[in-house]
Amino acid sequence: MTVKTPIYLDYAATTPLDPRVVKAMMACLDLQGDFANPASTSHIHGERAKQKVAMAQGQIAQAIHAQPSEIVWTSGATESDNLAIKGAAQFHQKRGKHIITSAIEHKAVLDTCGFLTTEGFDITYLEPDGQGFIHPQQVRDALRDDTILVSIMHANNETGAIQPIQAIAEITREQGVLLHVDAAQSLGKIAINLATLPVDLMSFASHKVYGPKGIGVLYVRHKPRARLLPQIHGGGHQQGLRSGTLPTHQIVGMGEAVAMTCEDLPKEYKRLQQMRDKLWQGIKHLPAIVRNSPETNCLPGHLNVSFPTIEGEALLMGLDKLAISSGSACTSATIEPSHVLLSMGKQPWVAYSTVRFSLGRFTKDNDVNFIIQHVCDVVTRLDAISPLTPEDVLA
Amino acid sequence: MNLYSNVTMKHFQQPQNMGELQGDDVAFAKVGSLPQGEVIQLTLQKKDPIQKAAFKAYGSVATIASCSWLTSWLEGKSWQQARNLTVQNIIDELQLPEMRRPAAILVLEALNKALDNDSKRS
Repeated sequence: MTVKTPIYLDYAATTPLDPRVVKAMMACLDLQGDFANPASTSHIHGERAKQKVAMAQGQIAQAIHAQPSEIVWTSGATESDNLAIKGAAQFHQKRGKHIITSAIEHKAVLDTCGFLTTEGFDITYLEPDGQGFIHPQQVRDALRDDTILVSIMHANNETGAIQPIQAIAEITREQGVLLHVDAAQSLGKIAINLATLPVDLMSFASHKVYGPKGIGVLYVRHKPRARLLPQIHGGGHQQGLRSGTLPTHQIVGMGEAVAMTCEDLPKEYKRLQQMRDKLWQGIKHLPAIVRNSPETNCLPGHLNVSFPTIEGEALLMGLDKLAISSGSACTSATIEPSHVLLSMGKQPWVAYSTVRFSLGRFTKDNDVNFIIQHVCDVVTRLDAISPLTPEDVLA
Repeated sequence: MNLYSNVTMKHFQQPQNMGELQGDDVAFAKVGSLPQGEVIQLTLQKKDPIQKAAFKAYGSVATIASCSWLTSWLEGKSWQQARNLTVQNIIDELQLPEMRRPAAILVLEALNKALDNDSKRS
């Protein structure tokens, strides 16, 4: 059986649309479809679009065990993070101006918190342990009388480390502090039950679960009510929290994608985990390899590893039969090592020489055999060129 | 998307003269450092003209390809010809992008150090 290369292994960055999602979206675009403005309920077209939005809201709510009225549509997880953090901070600033987050958050959270420092907010960044986990006790220790918000991600996008959100949420609830959780990576990969998880605000993206880009959700708890100051004004849509005409096709696409992905979750979790473990078994003997993804409490399709005897660009260019992501954010002139890996205590050269394999729905077991062979061939070849020994790089 | 020319990619994918020459008649140089992101080790026969050169490299595609090109180019060159090689020659031969100039600078530093033979093995 031949394998078509490059093999896409960057599902944590984004996913292709499920064909059923495409079909559902196509039915909302032209004159024959449900194209109308869902707010235009004076005619049947608008009414039908409104019904479709309500159905999608129900699909999301069901998948995460929430109420449909707790679903706020946004343009994606970045906007959800912005609305949650800036909205909560600005609403509650008279009570205090202290926010707790972690050093391993996505830039959408870190940069939003950074912006709030210009408005006089004080941010505490919790450092992860060597495995990439934040501990609930760290949150408890960092709480102050003026803390108004805690923002900790559900699962890390680079390493896949699943944070102990249940225990953190119990602390914040007990202390009466709002908790925001960025769940962009975890949705559809691990079960989320907001009926039992006392999280106040949760961010989701559609395009990580085989839905379209440009649409996301912020879950805003009603009981107890999470209060936010809107960030986008103009029409008072969505209970005044986020104005703007609702994009029916995007919303329908996300609803279908989330419903299907969450339905497949138990089976897909096992399949991805087995392939990920097989991949690790096949490459773990390679020289100086460092596993950055934790062995337990890790998303099933994530494997983040470093090969520090090989420079990062050479590694990525060598692995040209795979579409993978490096552990570094590259711009044209400079390469920045991953802030996540550095905060875990990795040396900069380990962080530079990192690749993240993220497996998904269209990854097949046969692909994994090919991936193992390719990684072993390329790493062995480039390691043989390197003048560095494992002792040089892992000291 | 690819920064690099075909000639650079060919040297990167099928590097020539990879390894290390042994013996008393071998000049040795090691330049760069791990935090710097590039380490080059160059060995070449002290005979004039140069018969053989070999390298090991930790660095970008540009670094590995430049070392491969250099060690191939050196075969049959006199020490004086080797001395006259410039950073720009390497950049031109490999059509390296400007942002990879530091790789060519380090490769030339390795060559000149080996020619000076002032580096002791460590």
